[in-house]
Amino acid sequence: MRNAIFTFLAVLTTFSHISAQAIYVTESSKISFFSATPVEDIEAVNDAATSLINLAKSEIAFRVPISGFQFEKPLMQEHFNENYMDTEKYPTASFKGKLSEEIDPKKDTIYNLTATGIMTIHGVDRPQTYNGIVVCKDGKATLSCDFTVQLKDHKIKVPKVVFANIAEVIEVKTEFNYKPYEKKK
Amino acid sequence: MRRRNKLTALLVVFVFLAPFGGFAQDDLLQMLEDSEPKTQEKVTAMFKTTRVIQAHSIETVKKKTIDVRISHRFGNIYSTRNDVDGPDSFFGFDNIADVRLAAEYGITDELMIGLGRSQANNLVDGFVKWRFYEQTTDNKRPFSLAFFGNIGVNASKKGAFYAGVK
Repeated sequence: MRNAIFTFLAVLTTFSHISAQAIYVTESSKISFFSATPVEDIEAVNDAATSLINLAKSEIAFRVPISGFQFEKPLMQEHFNENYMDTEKYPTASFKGKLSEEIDPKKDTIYNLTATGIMTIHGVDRPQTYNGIVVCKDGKATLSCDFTVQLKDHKIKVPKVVFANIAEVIEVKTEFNYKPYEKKK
Repeated sequence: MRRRNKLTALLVVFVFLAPFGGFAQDDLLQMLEDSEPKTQEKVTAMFKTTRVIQAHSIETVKKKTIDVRISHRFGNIYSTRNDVDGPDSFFGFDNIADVRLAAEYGITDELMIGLGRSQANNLVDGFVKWRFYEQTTDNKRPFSLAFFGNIGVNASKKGAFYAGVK
């Protein structure tokens, strides 16, 4: 009898453990950036980014494959990967940080929150704080966050010849759609 | 009875440990990296352009891109036969030997066509280049291969089959 109770308790702790570790994973994502100068506007879209949120710890992380950015002109894309981002050397950009609020996707709510952590682009780590909005609906969550990236912060060098064509501060828009994480066997 | 106790204890241990297996990794970034499918990425921009000096490289013009080329072949930097050479011909740049005007177009990212006209022999040329085998970053495919086919027609009014010295 004592054993049975003990086992029951153990099973109970196990289940609470799983729900406490609830992790949300991206279903789809869209990251775009925009460089606006009087000479030329450059835009690229990437839907290959992945992200996870650990609800218990209020942690967030995302990973963006740099080669996934699609440009309007193929030559722009080649220059972006070859000349500026050194994609072969630094194939991904990533962010890992803590959310300012706890999220409960089971309740339909809108959260205005910040994420503080480390942004890694072009192999250079920078501590950053970003403002974002999380919309929870029907057990799913959507995160939208707009921020800017300074080229010199991440040692992204632009040759003087095309200096007028590329903005020094790039506007980035992100959108992640999350669903509960299921372990793949 | 003792045996059953042991078994229960073992079971309890298993039940406790089971969830750790699923979320053993605490680092979200590491989890993301592990969940990423291993894709074979193509090696891009092996050469910066479709030509290497005078020959073709395996690169093609990308899809829906037109590449207008004006190529020159210059004279000798210095020749004892020429009247004007050396600094007087700006080291051969004045003695343009041939000019080719061409438009080259990418049908797909791997297939391109080109049409050109050269000064020498009034030569009109057309070519097809198809990169059918591409190197991948994981070196499963260690090199790239391209097919290049080229045809030239002497378009001058006289002596269509005369390709000798003027």
